[in-house]
Amino acid sequence: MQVLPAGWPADAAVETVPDIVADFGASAPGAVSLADWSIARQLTGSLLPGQVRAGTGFSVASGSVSFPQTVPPLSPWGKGAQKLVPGGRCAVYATHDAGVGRLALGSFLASQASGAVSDPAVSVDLVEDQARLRKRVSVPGLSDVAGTIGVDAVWLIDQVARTGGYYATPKPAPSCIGSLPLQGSVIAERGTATLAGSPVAGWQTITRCVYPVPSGSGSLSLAVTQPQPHVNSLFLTANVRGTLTLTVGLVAVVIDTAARTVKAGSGTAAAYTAGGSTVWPDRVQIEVQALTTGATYTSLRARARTGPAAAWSGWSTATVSIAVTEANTYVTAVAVAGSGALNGLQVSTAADTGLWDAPTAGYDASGVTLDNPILPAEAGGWDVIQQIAAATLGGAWVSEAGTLAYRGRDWMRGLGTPAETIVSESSLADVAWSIGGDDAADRVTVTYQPPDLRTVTDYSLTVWEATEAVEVPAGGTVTVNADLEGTVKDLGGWLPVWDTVTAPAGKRSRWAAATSRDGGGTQPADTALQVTATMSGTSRVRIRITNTTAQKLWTVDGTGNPTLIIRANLTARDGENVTIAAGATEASAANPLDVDLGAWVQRYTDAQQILDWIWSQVQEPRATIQGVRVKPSLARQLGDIVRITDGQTGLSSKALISGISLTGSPGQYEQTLDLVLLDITFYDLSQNFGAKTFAQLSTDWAGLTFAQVTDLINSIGA
Amino acid sequence: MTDTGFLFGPLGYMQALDQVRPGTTRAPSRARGELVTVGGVRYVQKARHAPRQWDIEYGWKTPDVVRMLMAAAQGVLADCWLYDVAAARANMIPAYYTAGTGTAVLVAGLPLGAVAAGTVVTVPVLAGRTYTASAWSAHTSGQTVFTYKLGSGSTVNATAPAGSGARVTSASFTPSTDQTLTITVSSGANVSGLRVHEGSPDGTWLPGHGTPCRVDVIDPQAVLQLVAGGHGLTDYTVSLQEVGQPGVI
Repeated sequence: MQVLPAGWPADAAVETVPDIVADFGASAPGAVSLADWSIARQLTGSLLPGQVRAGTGFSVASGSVSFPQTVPPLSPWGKGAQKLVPGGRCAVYATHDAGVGRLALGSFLASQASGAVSDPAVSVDLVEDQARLRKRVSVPGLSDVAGTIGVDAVWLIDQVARTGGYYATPKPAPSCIGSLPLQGSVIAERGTATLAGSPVAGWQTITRCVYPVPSGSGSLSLAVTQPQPHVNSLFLTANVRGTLTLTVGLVAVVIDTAARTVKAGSGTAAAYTAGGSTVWPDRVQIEVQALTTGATYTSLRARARTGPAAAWSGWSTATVSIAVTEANTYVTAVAVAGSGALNGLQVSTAADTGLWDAPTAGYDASGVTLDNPILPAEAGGWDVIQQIAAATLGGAWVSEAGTLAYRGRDWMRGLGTPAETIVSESSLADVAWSIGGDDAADRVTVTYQPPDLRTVTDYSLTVWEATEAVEVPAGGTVTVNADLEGTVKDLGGWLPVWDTVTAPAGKRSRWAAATSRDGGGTQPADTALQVTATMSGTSRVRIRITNTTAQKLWTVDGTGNPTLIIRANLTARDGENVTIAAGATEASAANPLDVDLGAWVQRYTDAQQILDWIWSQVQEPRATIQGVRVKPSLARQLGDIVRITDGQTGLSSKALISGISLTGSPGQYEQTLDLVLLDITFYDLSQNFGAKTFAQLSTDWAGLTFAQVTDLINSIGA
Repeated sequence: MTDTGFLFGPLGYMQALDQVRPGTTRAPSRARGELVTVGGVRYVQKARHAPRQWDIEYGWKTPDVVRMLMAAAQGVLADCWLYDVAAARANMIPAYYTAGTGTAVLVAGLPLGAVAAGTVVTVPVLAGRTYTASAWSAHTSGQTVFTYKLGSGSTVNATAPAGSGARVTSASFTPSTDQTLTITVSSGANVSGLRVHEGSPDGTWLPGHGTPCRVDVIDPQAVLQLVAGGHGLTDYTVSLQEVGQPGVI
């Protein structure tokens, strides 16, 4: 549900319809009130059959608007303000009055405009504005990803979204020296993050943020580089829940969000006030100052606040008394431990207002762990997000307000409290359902692709070998691009092939050179070529070869074979497909369903969970409710979980809004919904029965048959 | 001054529409939609504004009486307004501005939502006519309920009269030229029932659609009755449709 602007009229039987405005910005015709308009959003593009498809995939909003022709009229050949050019941005919003705020309905691009000299209106077709996500993306290499932790698939979405300007946590502020978004991974955006102890590879969703769950003994540290000259005062800004200890240099600063206190070392806790920011309920900013007297570092003090303009708490001061040295006094690392949750951490040297920028994206954890998060070479950002959403059985879309949303499969399955109850008798024009056997399956197979990960420490993994000789002119430099199969990390340094003293043969990256193409001539010096290799993207290496001699050289060995070999310590390639199945055997299955999750799912446990869920959903035909006209509410959004009841048919179920369509004409607008009926989740059971003992349930349900208890459970609402 | 019922023309150049036949119709039309649920519950949506149409008739007249209307219909006279005297005597402020969505204020016995403090309403007024601006509120005596100014003149405070509870604060004035009246709602207490009308304070409140209003003229239909020298005498039927956003000059 969108939050309605202050002053928006309350729900009533007689509604004065709001003014719907299309704002074309600086392009003609500027902001205009609309006569007829429509906006539709629907989840599509899933890997699943129709009856369960609607609950996953992605949505691309579309719409059309028509507005009165201006005087003089707008046209494609008009002059100045009368020239109508497609392709510009168009924000559509509803408004009631100058005193009432705007309710966003979508941000679009004008794709096609049409009109006629005799027509008093101009029509414009709108498509969702995804220009920022269209460009090709490249995600920095595997740094710190490999190993047992992996990344949640939502990290890739976050990385792609950040390149397009969608931020779930604020982008690095101007004075930021360390940034740790913690959106599905522990990879730092600025600075270097390290996990210590035995971290739990789990991610949970709190208020649309993905937080890591530090284990009891684990800690996460972020190393930062102090600016020159060094600063004694630093700002740590992060979304925090629970109790976290941030070790800043030598002193532990404890943030307790329940008690709302900040405490430095053994100092007295200082209380701060919550609610300083309306867009970041969990965000806290801590200022730490190292105080020195002469050559002695005497104390570290910390204070906190919850908004860019909120009042600071008092100082909590820890006494230190140690000599001033770079290591002692100047903070170069922040370590986080404790039982709380954290994300969007930035360490900055100033309290920039950008540290409080409103989020333009929001994600759930996907529940899918990637050991080798590699992007297809030719993919656009939006394509990647779509593929990830489909393969993780989640949903991705751009909301009315223009924020990017990814909902994990838990949410799409109904793990949440319904935003509202839609009672058919009082809110729906009809309840149209359909059910068919076509989409039911008696066998489900899920195919996934675990990566082929190899790790060594002696630079012995060969990742690329030249197939052609490179001619390097005397004193010249040649650049060669090498496309690798898979991803590599930690490239070996370069040595001539004949040097087996610095490193044994078969290890480190190697080059050879000869003064003739066929390998003849005397062996050049060890420094004849200077070779460097840098990663440019996840799977492309740029090799730069400089000839330091006064003779032309060829990169061939003594027998004329091209010799340029890149070796590395880590390689990750797409592995073999693995298929797991549920239901009837392959031979006896009458209606099998095959789902290919590709390389977006890489672990057996994730694939098994997906298989279990799909299998539970497709064994029997399931009903869908499509295109029901509902008493409209502009606050309703795609992906909302609602409760729908119908007294006549006994329907009482949680449902996910999988499609939402708005059409308006003067004085009225209609809203129709596509609904996916959701199963009862453990969340619902917990909400209803969580506080009861078995004895109480036994008393409550005394005398009921199993069928009656089943009905009871099926009709509970969270 | 003899009132003819209607004045017409561009702001600042309005002229009376003389010799209009009795029986002019003024028809507002409000766009609406409705939804009836499976349970038979009806919901109604309606547009904020109800643009009006006036059908004006003349009998046995020479063309000079409709010259302005004809010029406007032909597009040579741009941006024409209609001043409906009867409507101006009710309330010249469109409903949209007369009440808001705030806490209800008892306006002549009717609970109307308060308008936000700072709300600005502009109304074109004509020279030589007496107007009264009024608003209802529970401001303490002497407190400013609203301010008003004529054209670029000085701002005048309209202060609450003695008494308690929701009561009307009025201010009367007679502009010397055609100009714009600007009313700004003050803070201090909830204000509702904004009204500007032609006449003296009358202690009541009436709703209005917004007068004068921008109109489009549909070409006068003529029935030639007598051709006897000069222009002859003709019956004319003219329709004027309200256009544009009420309250926006």
